Amino acid sequence: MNSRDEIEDELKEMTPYLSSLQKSHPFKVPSTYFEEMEVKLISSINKQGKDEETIFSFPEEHPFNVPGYRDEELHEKEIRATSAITKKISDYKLWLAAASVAVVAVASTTLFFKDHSIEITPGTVTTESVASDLMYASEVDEAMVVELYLQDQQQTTEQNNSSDNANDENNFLRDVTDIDPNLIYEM
Amino acid sequence: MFSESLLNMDQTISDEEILRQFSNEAEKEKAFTLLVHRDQKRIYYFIRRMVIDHDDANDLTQDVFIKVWNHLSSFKGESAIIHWIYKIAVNHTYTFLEKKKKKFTWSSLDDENELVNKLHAGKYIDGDAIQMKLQEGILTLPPKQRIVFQLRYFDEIAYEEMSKMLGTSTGALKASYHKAAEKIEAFMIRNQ
Repeated sequence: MNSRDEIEDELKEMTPYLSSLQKSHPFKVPSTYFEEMEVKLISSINKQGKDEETIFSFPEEHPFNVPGYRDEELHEKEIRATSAITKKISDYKLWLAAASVAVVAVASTTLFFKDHSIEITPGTVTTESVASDLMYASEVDEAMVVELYLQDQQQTTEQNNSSDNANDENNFLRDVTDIDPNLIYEM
Repeated sequence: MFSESLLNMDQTISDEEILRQFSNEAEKEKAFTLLVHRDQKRIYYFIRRMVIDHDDANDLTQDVFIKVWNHLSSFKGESAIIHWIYKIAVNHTYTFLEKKKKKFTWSSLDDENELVNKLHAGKYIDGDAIQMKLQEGILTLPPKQRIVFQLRYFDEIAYEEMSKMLGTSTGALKASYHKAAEKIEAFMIRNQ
């Protein structure tokens, strides 16, 4: 059973009314249309070829001679060369973009960590100073806290040389607030 | 039953001979002319049935065969040349219809109405009442289903070949064709 018979049987089974109709359509063409189509197509194709030649044509009076390449080969060679150059330029652009992104990322990371780095050296933070800061944080502004901290550092250093420094520290704290500084140590 | 003039395939030249001549620069144009002579009617009428208007079909058919000229040298031979040309024609026509729909119409109903108007008012259209009714029924189908119906009903293309052309399974194509045929039959019976 060939394809046409199969198709007819299939249609008969599915849609008996449709299968009873003659397969025809109402579409017409101008006379000699198909004969002219072949000629028109060849003409279009030749014109297409000439349009491609025009891009690479030279004026007649040019002084240069070219080897006896056929136009098609020359056109294909030029397309290949142009494509290669375009590809190289694209590759360089890609590398440049990637390098720029990498530099920006490294610079940003370095600056970020530099700003946020916390240098902790032995003896920088004492229990007293931390407790003091915590106690007064809600009541004094930041400038005051920094000042107290620095003064605490200075006084701690001087205390190692003189026993009077401890009393001065206690007096200083008492001057700031009524809370007994000794209570801070018990917290 | 089928009108042989619609499928007037000149089988005097085979695909192998066309490809052999086409690969030879001296015979390329001759091979192409023979190919066009052999296959142009099938391709033209498929496109014409899809777009209705002769001028549109003429332009599209020429575009398709120019693509054939440009790409035949890279044809892999996995199917018959005619089916490969059909595939180009299907894609090109479908793209044309979609572009036209987006440009001029708001809905698929507008698109259908436009083609029905061309069917009744266009030049180079002359058929009896049943032929016109059949075409109107076909135009009620969505474009992809219309393509499947045309290829099977008029062009008598096997499901296996159609599957390669359209990239759809044979099962889906059978279902689509059956659905299309039933819709058209119902339309024609309703509008007798």
